[in-house]
Amino acid sequence: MATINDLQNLQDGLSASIKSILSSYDATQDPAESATLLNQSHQLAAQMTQIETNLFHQQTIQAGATIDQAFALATGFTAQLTAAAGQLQKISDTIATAAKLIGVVSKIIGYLPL
Amino acid sequence: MGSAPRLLSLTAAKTSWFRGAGIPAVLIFLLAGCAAEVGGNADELAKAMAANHQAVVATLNRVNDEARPFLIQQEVEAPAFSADKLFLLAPADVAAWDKILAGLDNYCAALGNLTSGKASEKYEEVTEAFGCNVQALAKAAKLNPGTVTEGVEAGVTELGAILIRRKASADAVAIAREADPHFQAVVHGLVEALGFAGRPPEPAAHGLLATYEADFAAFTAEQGKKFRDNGIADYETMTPAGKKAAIGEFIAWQATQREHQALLDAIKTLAAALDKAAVAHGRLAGGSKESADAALAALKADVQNASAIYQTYRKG
Repeated sequence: MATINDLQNLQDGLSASIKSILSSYDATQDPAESATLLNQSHQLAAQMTQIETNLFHQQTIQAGATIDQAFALATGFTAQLTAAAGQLQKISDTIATAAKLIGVVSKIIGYLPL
Repeated sequence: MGSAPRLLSLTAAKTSWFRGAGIPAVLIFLLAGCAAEVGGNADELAKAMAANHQAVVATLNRVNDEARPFLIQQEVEAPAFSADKLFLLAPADVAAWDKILAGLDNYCAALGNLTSGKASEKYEEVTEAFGCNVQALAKAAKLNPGTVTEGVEAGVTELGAILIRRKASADAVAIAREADPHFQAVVHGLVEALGFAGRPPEPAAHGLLATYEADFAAFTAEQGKKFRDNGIADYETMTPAGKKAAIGEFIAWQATQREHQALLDAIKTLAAALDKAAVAHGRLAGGSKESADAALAALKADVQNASAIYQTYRKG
């Protein structure tokens, strides 16, 4: 079961991850990487917004092990992204990890009412 | 809603700050008269909460307005349309905040009535009416139990109950003392929901403020990169027409940044003002007139700040 605190912690991680992705976006001159990073930052910002809207409506997420695992994965991915902030040689890693984060947060959002 | 018509229109009052506080005209009529001063004058607290109330609601609406272009872009990039996603904070939630803050206004106005030296001889009736109005406003907010605003509705309801229970005493300090834990919980619940933590409140990485900032950062990243360090990327390679267009974009970007920063500052100012109001209430509850007077006097500047924010962000 996930709680409001879990959702707020996830927002903390998303907030830091978006900053890290945008830091990579600022650093790269590669058009393809730029487009991907920008799109990923949009997706994560949208997910953060959706969580915020739901915090005023959601009580707890009753989904057992599935949701617990999703939160654990998301925490790991946000930690990796935060650690990679602004390191040019890590941009490919940043993109790969951001893709995984977007996927796992999508699963969590699937349990939210709005 | 029980003896229903207690919850009167938020716009029924026709004078200055009472209108923003959501205080019914019948109460204003009953306020005429006089009574003895008890402890610090809570009138300043009532004025501050009324001003905060107006400014917070106007600012929340402005946050929704400012976030809308980003939210529309999110809809465009999403696989399916959802009307719920067009708002950072749903209109029903803004309306709930409005009622909760009006409940706080009414509670503070009741204290102000007892301590201002202008209370009516009918203070029992007035205090009870304030109490009923506070409870009705809390009920009308219809907040969802168990959410980030958990406890806010119950806290405001209890403030109303305390006014009703203690209507005969006319002792504002005793009322404030009993009500203080609830007042603190309600105000800090609201401050946290705005996206702040701790005392004095500091911005958190979650919540309304952080979400709005994340949206702004992500959806203006292209401009941020193009105009980094107050410059224009690739300016030297542009044609004169391209340079002219880029300069226009640069000026527009600077204005956008200024407006964004002003909104962030307004939200921070309001969180601090709500916290200071809670401090002043705590001092009033403490019973030391000097301490209460100092904290209440300090709210005067907040009234001006909140009024300025309201004037900036009110609609129409």
